[in-house]
Amino acid sequence: MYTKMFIANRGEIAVRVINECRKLGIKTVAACSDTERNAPHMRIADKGYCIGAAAVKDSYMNARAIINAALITKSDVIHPGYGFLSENTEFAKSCEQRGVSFVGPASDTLAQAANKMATKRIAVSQEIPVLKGYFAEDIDDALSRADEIGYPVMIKTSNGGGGAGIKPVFSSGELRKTLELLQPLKCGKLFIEKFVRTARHIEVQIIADKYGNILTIGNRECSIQLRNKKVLEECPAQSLSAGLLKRLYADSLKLARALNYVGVGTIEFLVDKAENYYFMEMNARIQVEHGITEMITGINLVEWQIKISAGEKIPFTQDEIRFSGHALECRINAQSCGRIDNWCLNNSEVRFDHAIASGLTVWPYYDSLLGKLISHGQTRRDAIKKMSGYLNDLHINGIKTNIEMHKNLLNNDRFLSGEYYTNILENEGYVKRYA
Amino acid sequence: MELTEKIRALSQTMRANGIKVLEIKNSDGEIKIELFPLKETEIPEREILPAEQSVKIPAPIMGVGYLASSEDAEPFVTPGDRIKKGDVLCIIEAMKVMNEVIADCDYEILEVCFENGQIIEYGQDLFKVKRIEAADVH
Repeated sequence: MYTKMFIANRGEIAVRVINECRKLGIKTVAACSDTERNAPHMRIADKGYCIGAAAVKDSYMNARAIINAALITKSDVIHPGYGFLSENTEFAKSCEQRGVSFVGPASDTLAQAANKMATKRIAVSQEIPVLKGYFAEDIDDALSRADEIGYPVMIKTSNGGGGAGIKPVFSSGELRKTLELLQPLKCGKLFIEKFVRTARHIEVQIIADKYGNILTIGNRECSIQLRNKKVLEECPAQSLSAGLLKRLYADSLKLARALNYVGVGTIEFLVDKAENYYFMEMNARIQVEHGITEMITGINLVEWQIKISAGEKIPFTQDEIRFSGHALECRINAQSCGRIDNWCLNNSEVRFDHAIASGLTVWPYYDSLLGKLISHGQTRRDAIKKMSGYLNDLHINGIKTNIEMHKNLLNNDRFLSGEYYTNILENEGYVKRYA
Repeated sequence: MELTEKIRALSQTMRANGIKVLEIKNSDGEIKIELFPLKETEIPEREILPAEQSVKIPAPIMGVGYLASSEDAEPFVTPGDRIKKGDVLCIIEAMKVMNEVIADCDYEILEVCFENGQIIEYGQDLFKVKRIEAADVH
């Protein structure tokens, strides 16, 4: 097992990893930017250092500063969290070259697993269904590809990520107009893909050790998105036929095996009304919404991610995994910058993975996620009822948050029906009110 | 100018002129910038102590701080020294690269704020110094 872990991230995931390390007896070193010296992850780690200026490129994504800090603090492993450098092949390679372990797949694996085109190619070779998509060189190229695919299409710019740079387009006229507007912004490579209008975003959690054991750990429903960013996730997804689930799990295992994947990962699929499904991409890291899977299985994903990385074998088999009840996660996001004057959550049962503290300043440089409210119940109805209670008990003063939006959503008929698609927030008017 | 550069330049202009909200619409599209008020910041600012006009020099990177160029060498500066802009104050080692910390103007060294071989954070105080008028330095 590792002796000292350097956590190259911030916010709630840094807190999560540091908490886990303490349980595993691993010493922790935290890193922060100039503006976050008093952030919770800095306070709870054994040691914390400021590694660079406020901007992400100078601090949390400053690979040189991070590896340097890990080396001079004599850390034997770096945990990259999610986002930032967690799927950066160069960074993983630098860690390997410098003799610091990296909690994640090997750089060779990451080179493929974190590359959208590469994983798509592998999926196709494994006869896993994918959406038709092509890179486009320029506007004319884009228009001809879009004709080939058939409207509507989705345009994705490679400078995106976390929902940015993605837009559905319904006609060639609209495509031309949109691309002409995008050109001056220099948004990187352009990708044109089939857009499935009414679909669900369903993902499969996988876990794989260094001994060739690969398991699936259920699925998650992540269709509730505001401008392509997930806001509320559920586990398990409702109303998916046993046949479909069998195929999703089998294809996820096939893909992971083809990649020689080691670690925790998630395979994302789009599932349409007729239960046609398409592989979208793989997330080769721990995910924000990992907690809801933990609630229904009792399997601690961060713990196992660290243990697998340290060379431990997964001690349970696929058949031994038990699923119990239903879990929900509400992502509590800041909607304004400023100082959190005070906050409270008086509830003895709730799980809230957060990095909130009274007096903390929310800066514009980083993601707006403050914390994740997670509920679990024997039934979906129970889990929703409990979550409504938690939202009622959570108070954050000083900044605007999306707590009211979540309260509203939990009373929404379409959400309550359990039958919804990725267009739910737009159809129900949430984009206008809350985006 | 790249969009992010444009936004940065506009934000600076806004802050300098006390403008809180700026909306621009033209043929390229529209942009709205809203500045949030800077209340208490934790950005290490140059501390100007009123009585003595002294400041602290912050570390520009994280690394291991050294007061001299090698084990046996004399330290670059000691309290009482009057140094010129461009002089080397100390070294911060990062990734086996010895980075020199250079004085950005003429100073008198008042205090050394770290120990040789200590891990230095980004922004950590390295020296307490006093600005000198150019004419005073010999």
